[in-house]
Amino acid sequence: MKKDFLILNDQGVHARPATALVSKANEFKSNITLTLDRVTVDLKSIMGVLSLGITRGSLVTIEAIGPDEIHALEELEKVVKTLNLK
Amino acid sequence: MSLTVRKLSEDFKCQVISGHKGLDGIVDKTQLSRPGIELAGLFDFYEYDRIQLLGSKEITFFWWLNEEDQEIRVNMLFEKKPPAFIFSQHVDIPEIFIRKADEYNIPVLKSEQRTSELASRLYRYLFAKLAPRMSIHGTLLDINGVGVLIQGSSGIGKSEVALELIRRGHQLVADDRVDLYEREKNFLVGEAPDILKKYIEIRGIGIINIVKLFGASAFKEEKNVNMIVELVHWDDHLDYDRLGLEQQTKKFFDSEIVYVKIPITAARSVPTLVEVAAMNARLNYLGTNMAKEFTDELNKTIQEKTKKK
Repeated sequence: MKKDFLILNDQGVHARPATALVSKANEFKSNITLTLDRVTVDLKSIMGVLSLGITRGSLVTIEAIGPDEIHALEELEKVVKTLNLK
Repeated sequence: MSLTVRKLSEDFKCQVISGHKGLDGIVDKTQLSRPGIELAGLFDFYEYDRIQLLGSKEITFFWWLNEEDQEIRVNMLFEKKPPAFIFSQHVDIPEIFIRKADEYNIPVLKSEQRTSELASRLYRYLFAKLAPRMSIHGTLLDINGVGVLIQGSSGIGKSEVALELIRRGHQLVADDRVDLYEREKNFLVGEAPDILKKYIEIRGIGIINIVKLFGASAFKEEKNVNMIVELVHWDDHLDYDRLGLEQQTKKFFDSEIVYVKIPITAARSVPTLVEVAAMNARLNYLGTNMAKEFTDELNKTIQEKTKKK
């Protein structure tokens, strides 16, 4: 199951927002990945997420595959929404 | 990933002689063209979409031409709008190239290298920059010359294993995300994305710079991947390779890479296991298969015993 998100916070996904996403992803059993411009990284690993250098206005895809994929995507969506408000 | 003439010029420490306005032009062909035959008047095979490389051979010939031919043929070279002209060491660039470069906005660059060195370096460089790439989750190390890609689910301890191996004097190439491209078949090269170079993340400690912590010898810019080690949690229901006689491989692009799966438990020292797996792969590569030597001896013993009966 996957979903696209538009990143809207001013500084993009810098170290702290990345940490928030990665910590949330690690709460789930599913395999969760993040894709930007055809490069896919593991959303459970901070270095992978930081390596993408996601800027404001980027369209990213989060994909979760596993037993708790629906719940994982719902929770990650909440994190992205809080980030976008900042 | 698109490569501009400006980036190439900077990476090769070239001097931009003229045609500055064309520096943002795109280079998208991995091959080079040496337009000697074109200067001789044959343009049927002109590879105008490639970087044009000129050395003393081409330029010596150029001076043999009369002025009219010089003007016409150089103009024909520029007219097709190649990305750039690069002149090698010891070449005095003819004035007409400098003039045409500004007229057509195509950069004319001067390198400090000899033509043959420059050609092979350019070829390697263009291939590295323009070959198709893929990013994978894993950690790449150089263990005594063997490029080992450690894979496994997040949290299994890839970075921790890497840290211990770096402490033992091996080199880190990339932690967590490895970008791969194929230089040729069965020659798969891995490197870290620019922003992650030299960094490693250890849970509980954070992000550390291994060059600052362990010195310049702890890091390597790129390495060809010789084997993949996948770390998995020990599962009693699974059967693991006991003899090491059969070799499994994993495919990336067209390259088949040796693949081993190492189950981990608290009692097994994973860095040592990875190190031994790498040395075993190296021995195999050098022509010694320890598992085969052992079973050969065993077979001999069994045969001898059978004869005696």
